Formats: sequence, C-alpha cells, structure tokens
Amino acid sequence: MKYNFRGPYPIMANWLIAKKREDGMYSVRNALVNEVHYMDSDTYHFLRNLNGRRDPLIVAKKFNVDAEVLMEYFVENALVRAGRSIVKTFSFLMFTLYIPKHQKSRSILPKLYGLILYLSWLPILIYGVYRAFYTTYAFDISNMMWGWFIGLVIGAVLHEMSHAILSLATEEAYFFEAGVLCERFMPGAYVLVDKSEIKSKAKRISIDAAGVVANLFLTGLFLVLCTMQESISGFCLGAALINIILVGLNMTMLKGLDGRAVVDEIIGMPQGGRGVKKVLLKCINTRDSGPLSCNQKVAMIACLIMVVYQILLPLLYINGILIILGDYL
Amino acid sequence: MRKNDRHDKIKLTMGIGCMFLMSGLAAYTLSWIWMILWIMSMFVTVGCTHCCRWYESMWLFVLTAITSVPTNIVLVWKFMDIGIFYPNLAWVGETLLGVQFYLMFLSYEEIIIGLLGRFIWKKQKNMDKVV
Repeated sequence: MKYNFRGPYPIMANWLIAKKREDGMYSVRNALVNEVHYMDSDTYHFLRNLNGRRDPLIVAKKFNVDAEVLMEYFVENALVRAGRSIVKTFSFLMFTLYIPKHQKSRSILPKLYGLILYLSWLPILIYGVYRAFYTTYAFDISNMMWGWFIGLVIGAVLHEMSHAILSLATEEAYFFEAGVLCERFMPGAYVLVDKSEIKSKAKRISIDAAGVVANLFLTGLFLVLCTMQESISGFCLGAALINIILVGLNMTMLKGLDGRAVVDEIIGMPQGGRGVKKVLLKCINTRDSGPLSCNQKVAMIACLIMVVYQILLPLLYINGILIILGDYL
Repeated sequence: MRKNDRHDKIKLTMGIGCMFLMSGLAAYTLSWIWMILWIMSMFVTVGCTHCCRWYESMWLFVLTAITSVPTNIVLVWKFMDIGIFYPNLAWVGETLLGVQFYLMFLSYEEIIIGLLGRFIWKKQKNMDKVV
C-alpha cells in the first residue's frame, strides 16, 4: 500500500497486522499498543481502502458501512493516521521519515548483514583499541568537532538501520517504519518493529542489541581509521568517541532504550509499557492472601530496581548536561 | 519441602556473604581474579539453590545489584578521578555525577551477567509467572 501523506483524508495505519480467520472475520492487531480488534470483511476492506486520497464517506458507500461510527472507532484505537507525525504532544513528537513497501523480507541480505555485524564487531573493536594505544603519532584534534557531529549522524542512522535490518532477517518480525523523535526536548531516532510473534528470546535480544553492536563496530572502525592517516585522526577519534558515548547511554536500563529492552528480555519482564507495574501489582495483591514466596520477593526487588532507574537516571542526565553546559559557557 | 527451604536459606545466606566478601576484596585489591570469583560465586549460589530454579536470570539481576555495591563504588571513584570532562566541580555535582556513573556501570554489569546467565540457563519463566 502506498502512503500518501499529502492527501486530505486519513490513512490506514501502517503498524497494523491483519490476518483472515477461518470464520471469515479479520483479526487486526495494532502493534503499537499490542491490541487486537476483530472486524468483518466489509469493515476491514473499508479500513484498507483509506489511503489518504479517498473520501471515507464515498468508500463507506461501496462497502455499505457507517463511516462516521467506524472512523470514530478507528481514530480512538489508532487504526488510522492523519499525517507523518504519530504522536504530537508538548513533550513528545514522533515523525515518520520512511515506510517500507514490505514489512517482512525473504531476502538473504538482512541475514548476511546480521551475521557479519555480530561476527565482526568485537575483533574490529579490539583491533581499533589496540592500534589507538600503540599509534606512534599524536592525534590532530583540530577537526574533532566535525568528527563528533558526523559520527553522531552516521552512528544514529546505522543504529536504527541495524534494528530494522535484523528484524527483516527474522521471519516472525515486522518492520513498520523509521523516523525521528523528540522526547522531553531530547532528539533521537526510532524504528517501529514488532517482535511479539518471535518465540526465540535469542532472536529478540539480537534485534534489541543490534543498534548498540553497530555503534561498537563503528567505534572500532573509526579507531582503526584514525591510526591510519594523521590528517583525519582527529575527525575519526571524535567519531569513535561519540559512538562509544552512544553505546554507553543506550545500554542503561532506562525505559525506551536498548539496554532496558535487553534486560527485560533477559529477566522475563512482561513486554509493553506497564510490565513493572503489572508484576508489582500482582505481587502486592498476592500478599493480601498470604506471605510472599522467595521468588515473589525477589521479583518485587527487581521491579523496585527498575523504578529507581526510571526516576533517578533522567534527573541525573539533566544534571550531567547542565554540568557540561556550565563548563563550556 | 521445609527441609529444602531451610537448606536454600542457608545456601543463599552463605552465598550472599561470600559474594559480598569477594566483591569487597575485588574493590580493595582492584584485582580481576576476585571479580571473576565474585561472578562465579553468584552463578554457583543461584545454580545450587532450589528455589531459584526457572528464575535464575531474575535472581542474578537482583544479586548483581546488591553485591556489586563495593566494586561499583570503587570503579566510579577511580573513573571520576580521571576527571577529563569535569575538572572543577562542586561536591554536590560530583556526587550526583558519581551516582549517574554508578547506575550506568550497574546497567552494563546486569546486561553482561544476564546474558551469561541466559547462556547457561536457557529455559526461564517470565516474571509474571512468579505470582
């Protein structure tokens, strides 16, 4: 389906996964919020025909459905989208840049990319660090700032691309879109990937960690390059440093970052936004009917550790940014 | 079942005590050997305790957070001593920065130890099954 964001009408959301059931009904899963909606064939085809250029009222006549009621339902449940921005509030903006033609891929290229990335990142990183330590000339730091900036752009693009490509390498995963976001005035990039149908934890972790592994690969590569030619040494050193900082920031257990996604998969935290709250509430409710078991107490402690991260780390990051600004101003 | 519970409590108490000791020694001597022994003692404790079965990753997560305190404090102290980016800082800013680095180092340790644990104990139950 082609997405025409310039059209005046709403478009069927690209993060829906529709499957036809045996009884003729369609189950439409909204991968953004992990909700399933069941609809009959006419309603589903009405939804599918919303491509931004067609008036819903005219399309509704073709399928003999009530456009107003359905559109209200679709808007309320995020089954349609109006433009390029998914979320647009004061503190959170997500803007779509790219929607792939196909959400899955049978090509061998994504698998090959994943294999090369996971096999090569560590040797390149070790080699780069070794060369950087034993290089004979001093780094020319005059163009290091350009290295920071361009390294950041390359690092961010490759990071998100790696998540997308690794999801395409997995048959059960879906890649919906890529874009930029701004959360609490912090800019970033995102890819919308659905992994809920993947049964293997290892595959899910490999998709979550792919971005960080790509940044580590880039760090090693830039360190090798900076020791090859003195004229670009400062540039490449800056690029390597910003990529390692990206790794360091991304691997913390803050919600929305890759580190948290990896840890959630490792310890078996329920997926979705409220996993910690769900487990904590379950343990508290069980406590009313009797003493908690050892594992329940440990589960509560694990949830509390996550909560501490959620509350403290953003405040500390702001503190860190203010310190850096204070140093340079 | 009660005998198992008693044995588990003894194993966990001894194990956690051992972990704290090794973590403290690793912090004091800054030796990699004590750090490796600390991690190994964590895996042995979790592997030998009956009540941890099927939830080893969750136990490793919590035990890492608790027993890594001495090591992480020394690591952060040494890291802050470098002072590359923040040469002149008031003690409040330095403390808050230290806490930030502590939480970041703990994250990395959790991920590495968690992945090692998953490699050993592949089948784990989800946390919502614990209730």
